Amino acid sequence: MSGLSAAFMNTSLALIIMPTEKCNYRCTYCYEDFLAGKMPRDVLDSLLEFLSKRIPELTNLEISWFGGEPLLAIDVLDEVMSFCHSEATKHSVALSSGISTNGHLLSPNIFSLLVQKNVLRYQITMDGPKQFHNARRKRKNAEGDYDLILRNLFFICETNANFDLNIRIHVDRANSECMDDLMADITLIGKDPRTTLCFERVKNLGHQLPPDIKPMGQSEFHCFVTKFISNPKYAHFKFDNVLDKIDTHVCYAALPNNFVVRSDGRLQKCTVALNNSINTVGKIEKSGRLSINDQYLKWISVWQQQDTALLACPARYFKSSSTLG
Amino acid sequence: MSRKEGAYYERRGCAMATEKEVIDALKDLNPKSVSVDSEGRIIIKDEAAKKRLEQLQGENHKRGGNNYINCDC
Repeated sequence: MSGLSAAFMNTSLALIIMPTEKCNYRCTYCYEDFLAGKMPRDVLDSLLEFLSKRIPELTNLEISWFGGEPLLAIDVLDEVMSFCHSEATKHSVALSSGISTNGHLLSPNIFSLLVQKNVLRYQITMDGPKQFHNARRKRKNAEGDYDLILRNLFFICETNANFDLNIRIHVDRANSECMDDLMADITLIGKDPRTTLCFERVKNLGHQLPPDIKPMGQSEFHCFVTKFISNPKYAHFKFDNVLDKIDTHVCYAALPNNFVVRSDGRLQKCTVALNNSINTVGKIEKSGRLSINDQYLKWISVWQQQDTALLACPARYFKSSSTLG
Repeated sequence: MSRKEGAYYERRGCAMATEKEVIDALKDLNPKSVSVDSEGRIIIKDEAAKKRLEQLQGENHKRGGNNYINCDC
């Protein structure tokens, strides 16, 4: 695969930045603890200092925005992307960026700013049709806002911007029967050639699932997806569930050049095992230098084992080991 | 590279080093030979693995691309 060998080279760097961790949502199945707030000024300065030293040596820089909710800290995103764009242009570095957002704040103005800042890949999750989405993807002190999110998505699909939109659809036994309703609501968005739909099964990622969520087993999920996407009435939608079919794919957590930057400056590898001590491989110092600890080697060790399941999810190895933090 | 992007490029059949080629190239990689310096540079002391990776990168150039970001084959 094209990017894998580059992930071992010094000319390529990938950062997943969490500019805030105090999400405006409280999805009922979420594994995050919402304790760390917005990235403070000193951490942001350190990050920019690090990037200023690193960018001139790169050919490729990949910045992904995660949180949640990254758009709550749009000023951090704006500052980092403005800096990266300017430095990348100066040093002929290919800059690419994407964001995972709940879509609540993805207003026309914010979308326009993001496109201007080169953030061109969007991942937005829907939890099924309105009744499921609003009950599961709740805001902090209110129900979800399915209608607002769809309005935001309709708007971005009406623009001429050159972006990719991935709508991730969470599915379980409870909502699977109603997916036709969601598809009816997103027909115009789904028909857009820039849109891809991807089903994911709801899983326990470290937080006890509420009783109304009925997780599917893997084979059950495969059957559901296969049947659903082969329905001729959805022939005009672009589905991307190829992940479940390929033999080998490698998680970003296994890539040596990929780091998650927590809002407090910690460097991690995985965006799920956020509270696992093995996940913290270092931090960005005030000088903009990185201090990397021995945990980093554990993430690299999955390559030696040549186990494709571990390369697909190195965190699985740590979960089964006695060293789990 | 996200898993999704990986799958995307795999599906698109990019004529570049495959995941299997890279995984094979790293077969005997000693994890202790990989480190990151304070500037964020990856240091691979395992010369054999490094050479195999560089060859794959060279192959990528020959096959018409050099990175995943701009790969559009």
